[in-house]
Amino acid sequence: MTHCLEAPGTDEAPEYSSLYRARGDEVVAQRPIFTGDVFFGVPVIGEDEPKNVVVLQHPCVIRKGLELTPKLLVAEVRAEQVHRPSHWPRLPRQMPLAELVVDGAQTHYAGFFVDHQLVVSGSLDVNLRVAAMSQRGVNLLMQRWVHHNSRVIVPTQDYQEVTGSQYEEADIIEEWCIDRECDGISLDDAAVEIDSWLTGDKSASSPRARLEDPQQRSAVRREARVHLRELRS
Amino acid sequence: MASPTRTWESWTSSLRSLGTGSGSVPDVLEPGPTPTQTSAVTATDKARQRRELSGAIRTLATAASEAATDMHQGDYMVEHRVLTSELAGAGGQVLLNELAHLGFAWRDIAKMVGVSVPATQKWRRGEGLTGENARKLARLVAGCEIIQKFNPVITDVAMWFESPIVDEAPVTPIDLWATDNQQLVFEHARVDVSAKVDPYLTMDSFDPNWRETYRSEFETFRTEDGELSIRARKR
Repeated sequence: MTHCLEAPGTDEAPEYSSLYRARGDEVVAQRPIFTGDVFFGVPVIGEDEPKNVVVLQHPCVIRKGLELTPKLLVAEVRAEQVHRPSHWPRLPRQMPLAELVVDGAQTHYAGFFVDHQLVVSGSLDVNLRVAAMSQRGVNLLMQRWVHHNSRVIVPTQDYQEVTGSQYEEADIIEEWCIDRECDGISLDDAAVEIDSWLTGDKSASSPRARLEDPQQRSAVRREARVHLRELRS
Repeated sequence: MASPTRTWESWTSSLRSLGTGSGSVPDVLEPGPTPTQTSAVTATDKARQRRELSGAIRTLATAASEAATDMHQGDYMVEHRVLTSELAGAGGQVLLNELAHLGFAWRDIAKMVGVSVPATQKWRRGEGLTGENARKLARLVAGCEIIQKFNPVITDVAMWFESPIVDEAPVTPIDLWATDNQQLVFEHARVDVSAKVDPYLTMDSFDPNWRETYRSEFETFRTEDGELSIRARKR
């Protein structure tokens, strides 16, 4: 396992759906843009026609606080046949996106690393997002993208360690913004609220800093939920 | 569990027939031997029989210990079933709120119940929770209560569920629960505090190939910019 590109499940029991946190209509606007997000029909720098793309970069370099970096590296997404898991190691130039749901229909796509592009981050409209990846999906994408660029294969469990806190933060932001929109707070205002709470005093004891310690994540979640209840009361 | 091939009564009967004596067989062999019996059995025979019976007693003791453990497992598994049934009537949102109160992430709740994260988001809005999934939520909430009741050392049950079972692999009790290995979860939680549970055996039960599956020649470390990074392990 250590020395080959990993895949979701086995040929007998493929787990393509494990790549995604949400697909199609399930994707919510409240989730911050993250590594592995798939967008359809977005303007790409240097191209006349909109493209379908998947966000490639590690989560720690695509944003600073609330703000996305001005330009993001993406790979073009096109329709592709489904590849059973045992074939994934033979496809080092792509990230298979099996069972993507577009316009209510399940279809197979892939992100092609050789066709990487730049997008202006402001053009990534969350309403054009058709999929958000699970942690498993993000880790597989990182493994394949790094291998494509360097021929080094790092086990996904190691990517889990270096993407875990950012994924956790995205989860907390999503939950917060969903709940605050129910309270009549705009998405932008809710995002500012939770970013401010996560940042705290910017010390090592701030919620964002504590998310880096896996053993503190459940406590930070509880505190965020208590903070929400206090705001509502 | 392997069941003993002889009853306690039959073993004690055999011991009585041997009589008391020094050595590894305890002096519980009442009544004592008659002179006739003593002369009928040679010292060598008695020593051999005592060795055999000592081994048999150890086997019996092990079986008794396992039986006691099984009875204890039976206790908490029964309590888990009963509590699950009671909680199943609490309503999906109450159960979800309880899991949120404990500090679980929605993605982990979804994984342990076997649904997508968006499904749990719908449930939070009061939509689409089937009776079967409500029961799965109840089973999870009941599991958390059982773990905290039988092992009070676990004060943050959500954190405990997220913690790897061994340092060498990222497998957590969440993975055990999600694959319907609740018994392993309870054993790992030491709900039977008298039982010694080797985490490596728990991993072996979950995935016999885990050492190979999760072998890595890399490690994470914090770089000067404060971010976690990955590098090859030093040989």
